[in-house]
Amino acid sequence: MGSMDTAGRLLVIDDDIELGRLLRTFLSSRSYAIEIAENGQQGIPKAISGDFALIVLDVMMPDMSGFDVLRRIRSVSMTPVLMLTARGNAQDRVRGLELGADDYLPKPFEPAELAARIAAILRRVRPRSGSPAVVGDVSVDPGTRIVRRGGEDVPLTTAEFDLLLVLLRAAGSAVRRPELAREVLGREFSPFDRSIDTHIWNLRKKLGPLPGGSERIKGVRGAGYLYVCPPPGHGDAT
Amino acid sequence: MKQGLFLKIFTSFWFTVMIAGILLEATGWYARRSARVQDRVLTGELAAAARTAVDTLERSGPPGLSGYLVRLQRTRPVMAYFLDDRGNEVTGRRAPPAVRREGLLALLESGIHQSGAYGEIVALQTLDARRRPYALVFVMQRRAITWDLADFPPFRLAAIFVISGVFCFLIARHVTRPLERLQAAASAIAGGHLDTRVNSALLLRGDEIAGLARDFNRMAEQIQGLVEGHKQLLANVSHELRSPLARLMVALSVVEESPPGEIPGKMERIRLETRRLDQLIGQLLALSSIDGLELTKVDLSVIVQDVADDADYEAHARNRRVVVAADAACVTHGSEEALRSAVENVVRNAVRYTAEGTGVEISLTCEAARAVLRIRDHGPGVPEGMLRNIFLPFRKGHDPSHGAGLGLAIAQRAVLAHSGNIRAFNAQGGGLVVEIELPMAVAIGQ
Repeated sequence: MGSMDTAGRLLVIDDDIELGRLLRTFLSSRSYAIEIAENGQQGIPKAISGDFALIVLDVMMPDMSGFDVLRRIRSVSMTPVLMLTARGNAQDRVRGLELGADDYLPKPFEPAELAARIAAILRRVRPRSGSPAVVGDVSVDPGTRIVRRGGEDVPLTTAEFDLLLVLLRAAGSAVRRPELAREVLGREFSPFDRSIDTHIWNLRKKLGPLPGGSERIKGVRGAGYLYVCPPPGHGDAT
Repeated sequence: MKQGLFLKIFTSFWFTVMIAGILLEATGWYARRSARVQDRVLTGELAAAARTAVDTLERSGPPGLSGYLVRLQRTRPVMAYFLDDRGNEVTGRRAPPAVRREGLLALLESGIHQSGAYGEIVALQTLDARRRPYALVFVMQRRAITWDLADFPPFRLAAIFVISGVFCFLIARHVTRPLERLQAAASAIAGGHLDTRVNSALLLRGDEIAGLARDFNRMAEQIQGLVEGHKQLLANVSHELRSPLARLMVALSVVEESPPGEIPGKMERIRLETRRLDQLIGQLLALSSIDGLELTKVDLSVIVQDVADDADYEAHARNRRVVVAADAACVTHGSEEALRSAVENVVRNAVRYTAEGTGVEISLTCEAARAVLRIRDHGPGVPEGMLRNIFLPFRKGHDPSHGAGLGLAIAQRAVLAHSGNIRAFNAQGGGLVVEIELPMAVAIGQ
């Protein structure tokens, strides 16, 4: 089933079935097809089946929390996940992103905002033309969305992938946070939004340090982030 | 031993003051007694001394007499004067007027003459060889009873100093130490450390401070429970408010994008969510108003019958019944409003879950000490592990059409406010039983 066309198919995992139904009505007018799962048990098998282009996942669910569901999904699948978090709980937001969510939206939300976020994520997922970017032992192919480090596949979420691509294209010079937010998240940067920093943190963890042992992605105070150009000679080392 | 501390302080102070008083009195008494004894002895010696004085005068003249008197004064607590027949001191010393007066009296008449504030002046006539009269006058020295520090051996003074000091220190510390600990605990709680408790050593003292410490710990327990309960409730409330709000916002967007003809039908959704928000807020207010009840005489059987009638009426529409078996009258003290809402919430909950075609059975038994109200439905019951939690706010099946999830929490709060008990268990043969037990102890003033 994984090969079937997933375009426009969304999975909503939320214990509030009525909200799910309302979302279905709202989003279907934007030509999305919505399926609803009311808990983790129902949602996880569907989420990892590969039938869906994106998953909207509620954090506050009885029995199994959204974080647990996300962890289970991310252990096998990189399908984009948008989390619905509790408003005013900064910890939840960061935690979702750390676990590999692509974006979050505090509940209650403006439905138009949800639609915009969904569209932004889906736009990023779509394979883009462009030549692969290769810096040192890391190569990123926007066509296949495959990332390799020293010949090994590194599974990245869409946000992480886009972030890495932007940083690699500008390797050696810093990219400012607002620019990263615009390019990667498809929205304007706000000073209290720690999404970019969390994604960077995830990227560092997944890619590991440079062969020399130093950090791949450096934070530049007041300027943003910078992907370090490896010194010539070490370039193709494993 | 409720009065332990009072007794300790009272007896120790009383004891101290009493001992000091008795010692003072005993010292005075002893001094007076020994002075009296001494006076008698000296008076007894007066005749012999007078004889000797005359002999000495005749044998060795005034210088010899002077030597004798000095010896007398050195060996006895006395001032001795010897007057001739004209009342002049023979050795040439100046006699005080009282001594001279007593001496002159003795010259006129034989026998012992006594005067002075303590009878300390005694005089006796004596005759020399030529039968010339002389008078010997004793002024018996009586030391005033004063605390002459110089007379006290320094080590005894130090002992009194140290022993009384240690004693008072121990008493003072015994009283103030636990108070300091209590104060530290109180200020820790004031600083927000609600889990602070007073050390258990304090609780074992068996006096008023132990009672205070126990009550302090109970108070801290209570406050912590209340604050944490409210925090939890607030967190739950914000989540529960969020859900209908989220639905409202989506529903509004759906309506906005609908063709005009479909709008009225979709508005119903918005009305429903608004009603739910209203209901939730109403229940929250009910929950918080249970504190601070106004108590009156209440007939439980009337309340139960009223609630059952209303519930039965509503249940009929859904093909369910409510059946009551209640004792004739069951009067207790309580808040009618709170008790009514407790019964109502439990009964409504039962009607909601009982299967179609079945009835909710209510029984009220009234005993001397307690009233027991049982409400049984014929629904699916509750998994054993969940039974303890169903009275917590917002524990419910996840279908929000079942209400805001505060009903049983309100019932529990109301019952607890009446010092009662509420519990739930699964009935044999299926269905849930909620049992409310209310004490009748404070009941029936007349």
